Amino acid sequence: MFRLEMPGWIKQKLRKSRVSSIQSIVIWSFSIMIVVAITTVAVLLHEKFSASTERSAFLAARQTVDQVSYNLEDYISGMAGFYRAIEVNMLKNGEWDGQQVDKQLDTLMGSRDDIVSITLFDSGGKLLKNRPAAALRPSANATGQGWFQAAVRVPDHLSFSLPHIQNLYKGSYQWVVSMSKRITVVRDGRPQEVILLVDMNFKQIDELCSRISLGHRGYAYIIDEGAGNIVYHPQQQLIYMGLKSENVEQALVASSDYVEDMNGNKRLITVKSVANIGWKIIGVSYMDDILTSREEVNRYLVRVVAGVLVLVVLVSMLLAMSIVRPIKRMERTMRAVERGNFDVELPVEGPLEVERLSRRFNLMIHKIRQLMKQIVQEQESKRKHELEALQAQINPHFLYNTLNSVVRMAAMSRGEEVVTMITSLSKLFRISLSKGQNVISARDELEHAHHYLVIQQMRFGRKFRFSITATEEAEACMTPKIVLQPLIENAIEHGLEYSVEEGTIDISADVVDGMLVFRIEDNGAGMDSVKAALLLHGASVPDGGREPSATGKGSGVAVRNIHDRIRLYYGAPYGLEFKSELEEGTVVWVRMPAIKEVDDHE
Amino acid sequence: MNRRLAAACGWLSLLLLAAAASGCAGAASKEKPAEAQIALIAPQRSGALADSIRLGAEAAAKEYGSQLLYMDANVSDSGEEGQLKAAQRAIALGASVLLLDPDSEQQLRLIAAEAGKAGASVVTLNDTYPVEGVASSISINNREAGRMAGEAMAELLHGKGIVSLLGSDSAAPGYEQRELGVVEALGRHKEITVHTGYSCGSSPDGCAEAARLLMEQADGVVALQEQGVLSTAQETVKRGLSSRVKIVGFGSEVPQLELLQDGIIDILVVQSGFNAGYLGMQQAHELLEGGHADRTVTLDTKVVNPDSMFWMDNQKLLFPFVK
Repeated sequence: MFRLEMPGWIKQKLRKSRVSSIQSIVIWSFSIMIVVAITTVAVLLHEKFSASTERSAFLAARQTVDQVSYNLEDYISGMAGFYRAIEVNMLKNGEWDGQQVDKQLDTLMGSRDDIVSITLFDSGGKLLKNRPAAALRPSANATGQGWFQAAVRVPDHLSFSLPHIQNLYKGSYQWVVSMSKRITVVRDGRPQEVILLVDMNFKQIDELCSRISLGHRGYAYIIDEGAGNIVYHPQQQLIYMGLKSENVEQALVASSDYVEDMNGNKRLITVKSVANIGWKIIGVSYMDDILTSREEVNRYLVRVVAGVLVLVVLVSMLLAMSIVRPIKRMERTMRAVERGNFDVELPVEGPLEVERLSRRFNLMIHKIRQLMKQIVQEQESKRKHELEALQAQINPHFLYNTLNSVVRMAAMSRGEEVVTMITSLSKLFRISLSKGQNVISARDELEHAHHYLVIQQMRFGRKFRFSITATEEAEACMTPKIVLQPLIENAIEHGLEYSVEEGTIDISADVVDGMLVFRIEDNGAGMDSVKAALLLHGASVPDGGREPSATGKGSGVAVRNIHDRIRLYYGAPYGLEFKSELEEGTVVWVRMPAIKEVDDHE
Repeated sequence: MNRRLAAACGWLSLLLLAAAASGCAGAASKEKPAEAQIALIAPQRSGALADSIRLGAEAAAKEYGSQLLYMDANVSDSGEEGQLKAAQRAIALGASVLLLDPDSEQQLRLIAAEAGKAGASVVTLNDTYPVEGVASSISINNREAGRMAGEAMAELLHGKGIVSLLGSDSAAPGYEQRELGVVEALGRHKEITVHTGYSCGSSPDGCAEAARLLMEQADGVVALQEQGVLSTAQETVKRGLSSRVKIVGFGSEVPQLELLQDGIIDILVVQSGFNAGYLGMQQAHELLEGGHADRTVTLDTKVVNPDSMFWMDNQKLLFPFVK
């Protein structure tokens, strides 16, 4: 994906705002990229486009002016044909009088509306005939006029004059172009020179020139190639009055198209000579008219870019949303987990990366759930063990046996022993209860063991001796309660009960390497190492307790219970260790971290 | 996902719709309000000059793309106040600039007041009146034109003779200035005597009467007004005096030009009504655009005689190019 590289300080600033969010990064980078791309493409296309429009505009102007020129040539040759027709009708056989000729001329004139008058002069300027018939003005001075002189100068050549005022007749002054020619006719058997004048108005020329299209404001005008006089201009009156001007000099010498600057207006000038008459057509097109102006294109471009920008922002918002949405969902889910709700699951969907992340998250949550379950289970089993320990200590069997012994002693009137036994029993229970605490001082635990041993010693008729030694440091440490009693019970039941010689049980407590170590040693029957190992690892911790031990008497359960309990409290490195040899006895080490007694403990 | 896509499409189309709507609104707001108008108020007595003024104004209106209201002052029972009534009608039609060749100073004063109330501007053509509220006036330099006429007459008489001045009964300052110019120019020639005090109005009868009177003892006549020129020329034709009495006049009406071509009128001092109309329109356009209009625009005048009247330059000036 496109990534925006930016200087550090911008990044810093951005990070402070929300600009550094994925959403804005996506939107910004997409927008910038696409706008840059579009602008580049548009500018390139614009250049290309304007070059080609310019070419085609030039071509169109050229074609238009060519067309006008052809039309004008047609018109001029049509006029020449018309002139010839008059010549033929009027001067045939040198006979121009008579109604027949008048009729023919009137018919010819009636066929067109661009003929002002037809006049025939002799070489001295005397009027021979005219249509429409009208009196010649005495001051007309035909011989002094340009068209007359032009006709006299070159015989048998039809000459076209510049626009001028027809001042031959009374009543009107009209702007006309004169066609004149000196013709030699034979009249009454004698050759005679006559000058035939046909005056035409600008109707047709105006129509020819105004029909063209050179953009909205473009137009065409005609100049005379000889002196550059304007023959026709759509705004002829303005030109004549000097209110408007054309750059005729340049047009006169130009042979191809060119662009001129007229009062800040760029104009394309297209020139074309009209054959046979010595006129030149000048086509004027305004550049900003025929070319789509740059500003217009730029405005369009800006609109397009703005439109695209909006689209891009929308699309990239959608895109960013599709990326950000799963992330936000993940965030929500995580927050739920934070609040303690572990029963959540992310839907595994969306883009690949998000899918993977969701899957990992789900795995993690699953693992956490598992661990929590395990902890709960452990806690449960701890409680169960404690309960069991409590049960062990108020073992009804033990109580029943003890009370039985007391009854027996009372019956034998051994009052002192009864007192000792009951006292020990009561102290045993007091420590067992120990205000409901699970952890007690080693001192209390040892006292508990002592009372238990006292009771058992009395029950078993002093069949064994016992000793309890402890360092002060060890006595001050804390221990889970009732860890010694089952071991002692074990030592008595399995080690000493069936022993023939007097048994001994030595209990010591010491602190070694930061560990509180109880050591219970008996000189009983002992057991082999397999059995000793089975005592601790016979089965898994929680369930194994219920299974009958290898001894078949159930005491293995209690032993493993202690082992598990210590490990639940303090971890795997601690627990019990047996060392036993058949006929030699058994040593049990109970190890746990030496945790000092807190004076004011609850 | 599909639903989301559909929603996105919905939003997108809504946005495009809004964009299109705003585009349309933009296009609508671009349309100009009703175009401010320029009115050309015709003089009550029309002539060639008034016609070419109209032609010029129309040409300029076309050029600038403005709208030109042509107000005819010759409406029945408008009496002496034809132009004022026409101006009132133009203002009522929403004209913001009034173009006129005033018939009299009094009328112009009323029209200027009327226009001032309506917030319209006034541009006068052909004359400069000392009236408040006229934004611009297009006119020839009448004093200079009078001098040119006087000089031409002195030349025709070779600096010797009696010249009668046929004035105008109009109080327009332009005619006064012309008269002053003529008298000033002729005054430089010691052997020329000038008779002033004759005047005629626009009616042919009155002018013919005046022409008859002054013709008696004059070698040359300078007429300040078109009708005066025509009447004098006709009088000389009637008397067969055309070769003897020199006539110098002002104007470029077709009958005048015909008489000039025939040599009955010797000199005409001409101005272009077309230019007056065109330039007046140009000033009006400036005013409409909120620009600065020139207080006075001075037009050129030209002296033509029968020989020079068909010179190409003079043809262009004298004869409007009508297709």
